[in-house]
Amino acid sequence: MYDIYALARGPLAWGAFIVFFGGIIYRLAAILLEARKKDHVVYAYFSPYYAMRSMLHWIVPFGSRSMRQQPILTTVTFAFHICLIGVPLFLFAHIILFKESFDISWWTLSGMAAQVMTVIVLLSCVYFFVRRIVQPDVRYLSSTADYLILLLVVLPFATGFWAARGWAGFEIATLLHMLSGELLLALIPFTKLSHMFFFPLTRIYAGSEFGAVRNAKDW
Amino acid sequence: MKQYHKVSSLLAVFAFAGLVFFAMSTEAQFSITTVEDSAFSGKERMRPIVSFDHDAHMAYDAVEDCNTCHHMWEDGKKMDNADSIGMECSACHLAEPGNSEMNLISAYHRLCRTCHLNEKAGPVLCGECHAGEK
Amino acid sequence: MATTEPKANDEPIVLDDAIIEGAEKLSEEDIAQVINDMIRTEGGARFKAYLNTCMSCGYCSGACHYYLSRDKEPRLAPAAKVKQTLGEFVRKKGRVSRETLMRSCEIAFTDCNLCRRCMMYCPFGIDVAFLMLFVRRVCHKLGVVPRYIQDTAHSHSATMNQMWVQEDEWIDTLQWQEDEARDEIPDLRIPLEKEGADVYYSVIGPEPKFRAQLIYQAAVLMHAAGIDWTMTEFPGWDNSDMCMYTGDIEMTARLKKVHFESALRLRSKRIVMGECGHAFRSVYDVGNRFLGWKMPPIEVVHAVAFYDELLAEGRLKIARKFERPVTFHDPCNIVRGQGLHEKARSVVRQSCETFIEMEPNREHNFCCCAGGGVINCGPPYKNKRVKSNRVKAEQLMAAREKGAEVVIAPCHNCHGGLEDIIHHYKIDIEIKFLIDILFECMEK
Repeated sequence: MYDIYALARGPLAWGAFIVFFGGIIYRLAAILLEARKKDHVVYAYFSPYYAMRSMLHWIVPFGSRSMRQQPILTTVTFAFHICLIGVPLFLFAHIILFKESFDISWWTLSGMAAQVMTVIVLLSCVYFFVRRIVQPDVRYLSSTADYLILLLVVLPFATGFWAARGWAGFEIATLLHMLSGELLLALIPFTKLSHMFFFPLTRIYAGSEFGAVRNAKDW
Repeated sequence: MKQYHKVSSLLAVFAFAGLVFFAMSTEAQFSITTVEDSAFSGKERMRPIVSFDHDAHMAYDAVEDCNTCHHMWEDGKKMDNADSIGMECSACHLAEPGNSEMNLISAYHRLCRTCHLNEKAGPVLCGECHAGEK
Repeated sequence: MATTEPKANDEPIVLDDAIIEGAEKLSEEDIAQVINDMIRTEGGARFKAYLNTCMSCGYCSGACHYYLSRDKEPRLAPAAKVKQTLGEFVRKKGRVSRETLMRSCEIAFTDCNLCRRCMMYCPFGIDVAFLMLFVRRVCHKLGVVPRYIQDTAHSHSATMNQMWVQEDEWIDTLQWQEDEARDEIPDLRIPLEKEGADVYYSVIGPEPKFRAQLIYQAAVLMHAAGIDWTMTEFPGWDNSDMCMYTGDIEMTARLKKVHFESALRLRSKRIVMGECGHAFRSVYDVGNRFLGWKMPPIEVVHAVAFYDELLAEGRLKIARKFERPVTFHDPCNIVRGQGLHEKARSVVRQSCETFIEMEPNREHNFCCCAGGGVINCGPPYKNKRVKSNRVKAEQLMAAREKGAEVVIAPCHNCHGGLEDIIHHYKIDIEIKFLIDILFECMEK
């Protein structure tokens, strides 16, 4: 156990962060360079104003007609994403690790808030899973990868919750939490989870084309 | 004479009270059961308080001297012949300007976990120390 | 027409004989080679970002008239069309069967109008039309294209117009329309090859072929507004472009070049084009790009914007407003394509007594299901096209119930599509071009 802990706390954590940030930089650079070569329109019609306008309408809950047409999905999606990003980034137990390693710290969530938010993430995942199975069009669209990334997200949150509550077997849960969290980080740049950083790109392009060239709204 | 008696009996009472107080305080020191510091008092705890049996911990082979934990540093070096027994950890670990409770917590974590990992003994995971109620 | 395996809603698959003939000539190696070459050379950043980013969330499903009209058949969701085509191409590294290729061809050509409505419903703004065009281009390179639209593309490459119109036929038609119009307005001319005119007027191939009265009406309008205009007698008069929809972008570039250059040769100040949607798309943000122009090298004005301008300047006056209540169908290529919806409404309000909005409208209007080359895939797909747009019928019926007697659609493809829908669903509504209304109501 000590070896696994040392590994997860040391080299694997370093590895996960390096792969995460390195992967994002690599994939962004690759796609931006490729756009230079093959998708001239992306740069030619880039318009900061219309890109931001589009981004704003899609980052604000219910900012688009599409989101308003599916209120439940939209509510769950926003709650999910806010908690998904908020909990790991502002959890006290995580910040203390940053403090120990790099002597940096920032605002943290209260323990209660973090636990509620974790439950929201987990329930959202259950909703997404059930929706994937029950709703025919989404079921048809879903591939194995879609289910796997859902699992990838559930693992660190479920084990993290378990560890934080100190339930029986929390030792294993803590180790699994560290390992699955690192796995998730490392895989983000190379799976569909890359929408995390591709989203602004596709949105900027759509917003620029729709706004600057086509003089139309895209929400 | 009466005066003298009065004074001496008063002194005796004080002396006894002092003795009792001293005995109680040393008794307290030798049966420490949690990691506590006045810097934490009155603050909301994020995690349950850490259980710690000072006597039992002293019995481990790895704990060679008092200053293994109650260390004293000078010029960036740990001093072999000095210790910080009787001082609160926060006396030093919160002393530097800009230091916060975070630094104190980090110091505890680093001290305990580094040793436990080296010795492959004792708790290292969050929930192993921070167990039970707050 | 061959009828084989069951399809969405258990409807038998109707495969165009040209698709079958084309596919029969191909080995799996041929298919793989072309697909992989395409992905390597033209599968750029957008292609990859779109395919990697789609979370298969289903937000796009509700945007598609095919999906909504066909009882929410999962295979007709926009993302599902990508999954069945490009998804397979990528997953199998190009080594797809002929059947997959034929299915892909049918999906890309006849189950998607490239109307880009789903792009507005996707949180990431994924352009499914762009991806379907990629599939069409693969099909084009493999010689697997529905017969009717391929014939149109052949016409484009042989004659530089869409309808096999010969040069003398074109001139004859113009003279015939000029002749007719002079009965009404004795000094009317349809100027040909006039240098330095303010307006270079271009139309689509089907106008001289089927709807010559539109040229007549345009000539009357130009005359009434006192416009200094001209048309060309040479190739370049046709601004349409079905090659854009078959994936033949090389031909698109040639067609647009001829069109732009004939206007530039005549030193016209700007191009005004008739009420056509796809032609506008090809001139405004497709053809010019392939030719290397960020924006068209000469200003291009769609008829709707032109009418609005003439009314605003007072060059065109309404004698009496159109009395019957009207509703307005927003064509994708000029609304999602250039945001002409407010200008169109301005023209409608100035020329009609009663205007009733359809729901949804403007950028959110439902497609006609004819555009994107789907109606050009011809009779084999007509029934599917009509069945796949029940939502449009319902939308029209709702407008009819609110009192609309006429639906105005300033686009040729929309016209064709809506006519079929009105007929099939027996909706008591008449369809008109904007110029039909203006012609009836303006001071001549």
